[in-house]
Amino acid sequence: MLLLAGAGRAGAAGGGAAVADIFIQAEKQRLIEHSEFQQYESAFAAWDELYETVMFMDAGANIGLLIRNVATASCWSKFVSKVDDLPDDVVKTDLKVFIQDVKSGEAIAGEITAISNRLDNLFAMPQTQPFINDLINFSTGNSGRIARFGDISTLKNTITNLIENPIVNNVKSYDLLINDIEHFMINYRSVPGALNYFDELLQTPLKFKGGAFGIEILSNPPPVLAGKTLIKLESGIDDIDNFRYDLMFEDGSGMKIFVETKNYSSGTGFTTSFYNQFKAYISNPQLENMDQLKYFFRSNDGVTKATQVKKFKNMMKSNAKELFESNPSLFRSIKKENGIDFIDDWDDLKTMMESPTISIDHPVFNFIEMF
Amino acid sequence: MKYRIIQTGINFFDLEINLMISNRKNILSIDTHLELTSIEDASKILSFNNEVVVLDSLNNGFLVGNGKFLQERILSYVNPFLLVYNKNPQYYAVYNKNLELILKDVHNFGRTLISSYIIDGIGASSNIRISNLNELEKTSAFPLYSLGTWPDGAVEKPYQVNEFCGIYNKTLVCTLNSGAVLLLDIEKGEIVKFIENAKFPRMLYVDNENENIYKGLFGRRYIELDVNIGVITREVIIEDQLRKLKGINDETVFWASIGRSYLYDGLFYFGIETNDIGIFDPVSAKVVDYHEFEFDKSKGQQLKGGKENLQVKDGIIYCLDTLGNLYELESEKLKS
Repeated sequence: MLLLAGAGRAGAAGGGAAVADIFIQAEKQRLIEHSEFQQYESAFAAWDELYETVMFMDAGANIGLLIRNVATASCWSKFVSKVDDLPDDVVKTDLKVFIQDVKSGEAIAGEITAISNRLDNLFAMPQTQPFINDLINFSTGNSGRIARFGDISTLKNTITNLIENPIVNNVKSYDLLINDIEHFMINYRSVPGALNYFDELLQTPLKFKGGAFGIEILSNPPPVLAGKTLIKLESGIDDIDNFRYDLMFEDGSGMKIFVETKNYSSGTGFTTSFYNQFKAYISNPQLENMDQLKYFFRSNDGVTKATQVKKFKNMMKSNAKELFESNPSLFRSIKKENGIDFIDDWDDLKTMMESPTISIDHPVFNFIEMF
Repeated sequence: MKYRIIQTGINFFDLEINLMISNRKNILSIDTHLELTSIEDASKILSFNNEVVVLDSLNNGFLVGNGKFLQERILSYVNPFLLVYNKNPQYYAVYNKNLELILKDVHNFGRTLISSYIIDGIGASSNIRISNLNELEKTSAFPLYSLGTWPDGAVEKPYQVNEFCGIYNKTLVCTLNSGAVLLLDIEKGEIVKFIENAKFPRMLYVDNENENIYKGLFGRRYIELDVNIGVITREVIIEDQLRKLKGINDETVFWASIGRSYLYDGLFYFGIETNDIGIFDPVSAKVVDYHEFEFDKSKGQQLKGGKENLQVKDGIIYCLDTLGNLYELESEKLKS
């Protein structure tokens, strides 16, 4: 039986409740003939009162209004307490689901209010004003950007919708995420590429997911990046599923460190575009040492250094010649599995990647970091 | 700078022997573009005793017109020494010009050849080992771990050698991963000077081996190091010049820096990021010319790394990109 399809699926809410009402009324008619109806009567009355009070049909697709009306109706708590009196059948079960839906919807509505308040607070901070002003100015003349952050209100809606989007999983809770956004706005305004980076992460839920990981790393730099300066942000789309964010750091001696962030699930494979991007990093003439490259993977369920090393091994084994030749001096500075001799040619690289015994801590995998 | 593409499909070139490889097969003259020969999977060319030796991608050597050159694979040739290796059984060896065996070992004994010395210790090595190929009994070693560790951010790391830059008067000059510069006595294997705060991790050169002044252009600094006294005697910060070149104002975090530089005929030829080439004059401490390539990033096009892919002859720069385009750049400012 269809009742409310869940608080997150607004389209069926009003109609779903109306359909539910048809079944509830039918059940009432079936039971009314029985002597024990008296014990159920107050529960049916509570539903009727709720249904009339909340006016489900008038709520249409506005789930927020519907949930607010249901949860704040004076008869709501009475209805909740009476449902257990109903006989154990499918109507009772569905009404209990409905109650859970409303409660979780209420929690979501509460979270949306909290996000709204937190964003109001963020946008009112004097320290974030310069970045926000830059961002809004950056939207001028570009319809896509205007739709995302043409003014404060639009920016707020965009961020709220992205945080609430179910695709945006494997990110921190909204309050910590907004803390990271605050840190980014205050600290990286003058870093080249900051506005483009922020623009990109506001474009789609997938990009937001990737970008949120990047700004989390900036807020809590891992030990290998501690003390290094973020000097440039770059953004670009590899393919539909594989969004790329690049962070460029520099140490005290002027050595560059190129950082790639990947918020992957355990099932995410290394695609052709992932390989092309890796090859581009390897080909970079500034990359003279593997310590200058860092791929940060979020430690999502089933994502470990061992799983990522295995994927890199497969990818590098299949492309050993092309990778080696894109930067021979880089690979020739790495030692073989025996830790004594250097890689001399692409066949040595291939042999290393085929080895079942090579340690995940071998220096050739030093660029793979878990966060 | 005035520039043009002189050939496409190139995977290797060498101005000294005036040859280039196109399409991994055809050996052509750089001057005339005439084909000398073709060898499958050709990757590199060297000149040995006036003979042209073509290496394939697994370092097997072929003499033009005469087939296989040696049974071993070739690592490098620095006149008069030829460094080779074999896979099965594994060994490494050094020959002289007459192909007489000088040194052979089951494990690697270094790749860096400077005058008559072969030096081991680049990267993850616990020792620097120096062998004099003319007097093999005079081999010295320095334990890198004796330097302790250095803090890379919040991580303590062992010191590692990035480059062996040269030898002056029995002193080996090494740049380290921490940015320190180590001066070692090559006969005793002892520290002459450890310049811990040099902040110069690589790209230190000398005009000729009799010079005691080593010069380096890296990041946003030009330095001169007097190996005689182990002191940086000149330092010029060139950030303002680089800001102007890249059009970056004072309010923006400055990202541009020199990641690679090569010294030819007293001038530094350098690269900023991936696709820029400039010329720096150490005497005036000025960037005298500069060229920014406009490459197609969607094709992964960028300048190729490695000194062999940026060479200079008679003041003309030749460089290779990752798509196989060989460029010739001529500085009009330098000519005038």
